[in-house]
Amino acid sequence: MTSTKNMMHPDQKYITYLQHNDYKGIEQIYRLYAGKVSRMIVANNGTEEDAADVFQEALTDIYKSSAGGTFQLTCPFEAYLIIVCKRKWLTQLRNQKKIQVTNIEEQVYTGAEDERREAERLALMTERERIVMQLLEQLSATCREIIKACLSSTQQEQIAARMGITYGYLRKKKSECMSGLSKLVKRHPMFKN
Amino acid sequence: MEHYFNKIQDYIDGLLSEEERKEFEKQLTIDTALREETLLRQELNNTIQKHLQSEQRLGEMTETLEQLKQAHFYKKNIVSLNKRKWLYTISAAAGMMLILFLSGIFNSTQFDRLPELTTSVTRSNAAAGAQQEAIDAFNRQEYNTSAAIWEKQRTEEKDSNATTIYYLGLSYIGQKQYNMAIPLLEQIAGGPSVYKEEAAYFAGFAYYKTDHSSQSAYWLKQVGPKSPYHKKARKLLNKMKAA
Repeated sequence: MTSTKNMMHPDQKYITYLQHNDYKGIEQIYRLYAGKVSRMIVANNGTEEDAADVFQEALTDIYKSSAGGTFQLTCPFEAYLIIVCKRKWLTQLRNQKKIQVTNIEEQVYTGAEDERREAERLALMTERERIVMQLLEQLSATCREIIKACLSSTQQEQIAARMGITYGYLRKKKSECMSGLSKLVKRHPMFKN
Repeated sequence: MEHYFNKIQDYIDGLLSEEERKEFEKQLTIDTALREETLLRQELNNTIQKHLQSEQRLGEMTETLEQLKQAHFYKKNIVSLNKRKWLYTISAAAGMMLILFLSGIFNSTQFDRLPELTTSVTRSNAAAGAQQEAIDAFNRQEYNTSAAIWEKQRTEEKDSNATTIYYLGLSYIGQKQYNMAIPLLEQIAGGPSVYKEEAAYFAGFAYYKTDHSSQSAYWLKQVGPKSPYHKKARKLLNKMKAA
């Protein structure tokens, strides 16, 4: 069997549409896949409104996850999108303690097994990143400010001056704050193992 | 050893001296826990950097997605809205703004549906022009633009008025920047403003979207029975209770 791993898929164009905020391209994504996701969610205890929210949130997550110009789509976009939507919807159902639903993606995506595995890997990465950003918001305001400022710019001395602290203290606090985030992340079920 | 764990961030940032770096990398080869922590911290750094970068254009993206969501998921609602718009044209001018405001609130379970805004404040010519520009952008669901204008007004005004703060909060709701919206909406919901109860609803909604159910319930319960948002607030409370 030929592995799809590390080979850029032609559907990378959909990632580019999202990154460039290409209206026509993104409209194509809605036209091709919104109906499938809607049917999947409506068939599993959801409404069309739930589907609209999940679809939009999934595209936002994919947009964020593929930022920075290094993301390579290694499976069909449909598989990736549908599995991201499925994971989001399962999380919502679980949080609402509704009926346990499993394997719902098989009803709408019937691609090859290696494509599905690759899509699962990318979707898991996207979900882990979303959780990291959620956990970041649980840190103190000072830690959030230091982490965001330091990771947005390479001018650390300027950041220290702007914040009215010494460069040495900024480095120390950044290290402590990142260590705090790491502890939160390791306690999250998604990162155990 | 704890000593090496304290150096992880400086190692990732390339701030260790050549000698320190070699010593750290030697330790990485023999200390599994240090290696795992370093890998995780690198992953966290990369993720945060990437997501912060994506936020620069997130507002524009959200506007596009919101427009397409309406077009692809709420076609029936759009048809219905067009019919209502025809009716508005033959209504009296005074009643028109009220109906526009109320439409989208009744008969809807779209908890994130934002109201259509109207001009209600008197300002200097320049400020009034900016205010109208922001309102027009907001009503076109271009929340990135409206938020930028109101954020600028808020910064420039020493004593920001409630309308600016409330509308800015709503713009952040439109952008799905709930953590940005919450303090603004709470400020209005906790004060004497005419927007008090609407702001309480949207503060409750923002907390709901960020999984803070107790704060969400608190604000939703502040929406009184006379508010056009009362019904939605009750529905959202019931939805949370059922969860």
